[in-house]
Amino acid sequence: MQDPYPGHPSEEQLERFILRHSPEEELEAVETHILACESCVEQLEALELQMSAVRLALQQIEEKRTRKALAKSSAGWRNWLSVPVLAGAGAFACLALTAVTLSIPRDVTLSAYRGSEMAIVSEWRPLNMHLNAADLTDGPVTVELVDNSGSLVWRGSSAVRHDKVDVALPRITRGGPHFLRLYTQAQGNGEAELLREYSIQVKF
Amino acid sequence: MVATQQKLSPVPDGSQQVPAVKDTASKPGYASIEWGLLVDQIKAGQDAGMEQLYKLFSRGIRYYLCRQLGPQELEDKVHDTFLIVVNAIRRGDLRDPERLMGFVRTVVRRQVAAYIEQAVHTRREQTDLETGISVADRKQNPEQEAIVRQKAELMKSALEALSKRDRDILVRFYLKEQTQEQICREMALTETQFRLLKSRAKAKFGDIGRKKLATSGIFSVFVRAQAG
Repeated sequence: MQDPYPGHPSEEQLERFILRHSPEEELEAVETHILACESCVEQLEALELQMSAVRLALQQIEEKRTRKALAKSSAGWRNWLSVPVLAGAGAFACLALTAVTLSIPRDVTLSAYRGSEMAIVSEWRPLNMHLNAADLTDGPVTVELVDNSGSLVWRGSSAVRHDKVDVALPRITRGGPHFLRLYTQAQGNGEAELLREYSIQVKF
Repeated sequence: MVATQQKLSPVPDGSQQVPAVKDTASKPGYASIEWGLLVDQIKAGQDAGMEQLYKLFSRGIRYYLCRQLGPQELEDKVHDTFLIVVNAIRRGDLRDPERLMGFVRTVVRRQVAAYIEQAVHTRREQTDLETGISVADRKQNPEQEAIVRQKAELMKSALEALSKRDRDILVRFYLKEQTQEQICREMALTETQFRLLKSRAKAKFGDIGRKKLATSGIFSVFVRAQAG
């Protein structure tokens, strides 16, 4: 007779049969064989048990891995919420905020002369000064920043435009009264003429 | 159609006929069956022929019917199938005795189709009744379940020791029941690579299991596969 499996189907073929993955031709051969082969039926039954056990074991391993992964991800969030981490994060945020704040120039408008009005500005912070230059002729001017003792802190140049002088001052690192002075620009050997003086109080 | 004929005793009393099996000491199977003699004995109504037929096919038919229809009324179904086969042989429906196995398969498949059709019909006609509907029970019995649980527990450590790729193949094949083609496609493997990787994974699994359970027969199937 024509027997597609004069021996016996391979384990691979039996596995496919159990999983119902056998191609039609193979299915016919395996089915025909097992109907009359007790040893293959025994092997099929053993394989079914074995595969059930493998399936169960793999299922439990997969579930364990999934649980672990979930626990790990949630633990990650919990770790972020712990007191030391939160405190560290808060400190870092404060530092960052301070750094950002100190790096942003503050706009200061001065409209009065020395003695009559004093603006209070922060130490360690760049300043955009808007000086009242009413009655001054438009044109370039020299700007000096001196401290309370008259020592020069900074010198730069700007210009009078529409009764105003805008000056970008660098960070002032020392507290106390300071003075901003506007001079005409020196021409030849002539001395520069003091045009205006403004006072500011630098505080931390 | 489901057989309704009078039930025939498949294992009759002792008979004087010559068995159709040449060598009974060999592995149970059909390689040594003289199909022509067997069919002639059945046609002649000899008990030895029917006894041999039952011995030869009962286990396989029982397994097949149970797999397809579940364990409900299994013995009756097996008996009905034998009746149909025997009657068909006696009527001369089987022309080539060498085709007996294929003939039995056709009968069994028709029986399965008939039982399913009957179940569908019953369900449609008697939806309000609790009886008369057979649903295949694919679950193992409690004893088998206990064995499976015990084996699975022992297998876990062996499976966990496999590489991720090796385990992935087993997960896809056994757990997700993906076909070989799908696994090959998704893991970019040729069929040969798949077979090699799967057998390697099983071999590793067998090795680990053998070491862990030297005295247990749990891994015998995989170990036997390696040897074979």
